[in-house]
Amino acid sequence: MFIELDLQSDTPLYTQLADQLTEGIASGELKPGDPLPSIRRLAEDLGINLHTVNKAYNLLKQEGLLQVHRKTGVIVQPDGMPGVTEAFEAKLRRQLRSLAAAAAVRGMAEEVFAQESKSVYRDIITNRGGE
Amino acid sequence: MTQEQMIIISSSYLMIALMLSLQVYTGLRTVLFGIVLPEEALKDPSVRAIRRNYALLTSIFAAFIGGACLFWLRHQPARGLLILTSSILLLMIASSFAARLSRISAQHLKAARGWKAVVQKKRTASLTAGRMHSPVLSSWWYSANAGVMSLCILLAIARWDTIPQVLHLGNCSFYKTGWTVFSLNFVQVLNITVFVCYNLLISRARTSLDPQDREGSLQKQLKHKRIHSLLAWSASLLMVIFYGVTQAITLYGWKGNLLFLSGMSLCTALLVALFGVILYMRIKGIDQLRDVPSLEEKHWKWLGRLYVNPEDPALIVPNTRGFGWTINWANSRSKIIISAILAVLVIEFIICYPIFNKYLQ
Repeated sequence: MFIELDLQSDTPLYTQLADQLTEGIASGELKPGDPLPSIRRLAEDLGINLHTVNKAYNLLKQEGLLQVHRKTGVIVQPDGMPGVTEAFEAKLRRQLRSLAAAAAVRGMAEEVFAQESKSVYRDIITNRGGE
Repeated sequence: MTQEQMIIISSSYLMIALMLSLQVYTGLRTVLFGIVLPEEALKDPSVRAIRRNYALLTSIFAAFIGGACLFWLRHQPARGLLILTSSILLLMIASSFAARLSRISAQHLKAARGWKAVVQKKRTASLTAGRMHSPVLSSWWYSANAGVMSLCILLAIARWDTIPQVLHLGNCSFYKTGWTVFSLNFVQVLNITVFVCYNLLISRARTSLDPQDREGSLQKQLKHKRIHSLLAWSASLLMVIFYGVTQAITLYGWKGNLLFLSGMSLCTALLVALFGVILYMRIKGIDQLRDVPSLEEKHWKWLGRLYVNPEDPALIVPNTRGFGWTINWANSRSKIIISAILAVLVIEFIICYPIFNKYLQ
């Protein structure tokens, strides 16, 4: 699996990295227990600051998607992914609000917005055999 | 001066002159003496002319310096090693001068053509590179080298009583002591250690990918590392065998001219392997590694020879000018590597210089 970061994007690098790792787990490209490069290794390969990679890994660790051990390194959560919590639902609603508002301002219909959301979700999980 | 000594001095000089002249044809095609050019510049005949002129100028310098040193050698044959060292130093200064002129030409050409090298703002890495199997040889391969060394040591211990009290190597004579008998084994240990560390550094070198060809650049980088790892191991093994043969000549009275023959064979084999690998990588395009984070001109100092980028966390990056990798001098860990390299060079100098000096008198 490849990670691609855009240095000119408005999205911070650690967010881009965390999002792509999350997508990788969601699509099945990264399976539970798969090892990831160490913070230093990934930072060197991408040519970015170690703290950026550290921040991304910590973010995903806090969300329960990764395990970070001093000796064994970084691995995708082997013991089952965290479930949908109230906190996650609140975060999802927050992020969807801004997207929905941007769509509504442009005159996008509700059905079209829902269809787009569905299509993106299906694209991500298609590699897992579809659910 | 004997014919053998003359051959050693002149072939060493010629080898270095050839490498300095032809180094301009190795490395990234889009980098010309540290000046980063766009892809379209490769079609410009002026770019090829700058490379050709550097090679010609360096060859002319090499011919003059070589001729002058030959003249000096005829009058003072006892100073063989000093003359060789001086000629190599002079040649390196001359080639740096030629590189400086070429760099200025490259800068003027780039300004005149209005070329702008596109600075890549995307960074790509693989999460699985080298995870399945390492691209470099395992350190266990060096067991063969250690095996040769152990054999040499065991033989010396087993035949200690038959070793004469005065040892001879070329023009040099030594009294038999623990140090003189085992000093070349120490050099073998040093050699194996250096190459094992080099192998580890290769495995740790960055695998930065080209966003426009992720899979292709990944395969290229893995092949590049594997070829270098194999070359390093083979070179180390040949050198360890050579030191063993040298020890045997000294301790067991093997034929004296075997030293010259084995030395020349080693150098020839290494040179042929080196040129062969460079040519192979050039033909297959394996040496065209676009290490995106290090491609900005401003980070390459001293005529594009030294990489200095404090924002880059990598310690080892691909060398744009020639062969292999180079150190990021801005990285704090680079001081350790440079100190280690200097220490090894000083130790080898202390051990080998008196022998070479006497041999070339």
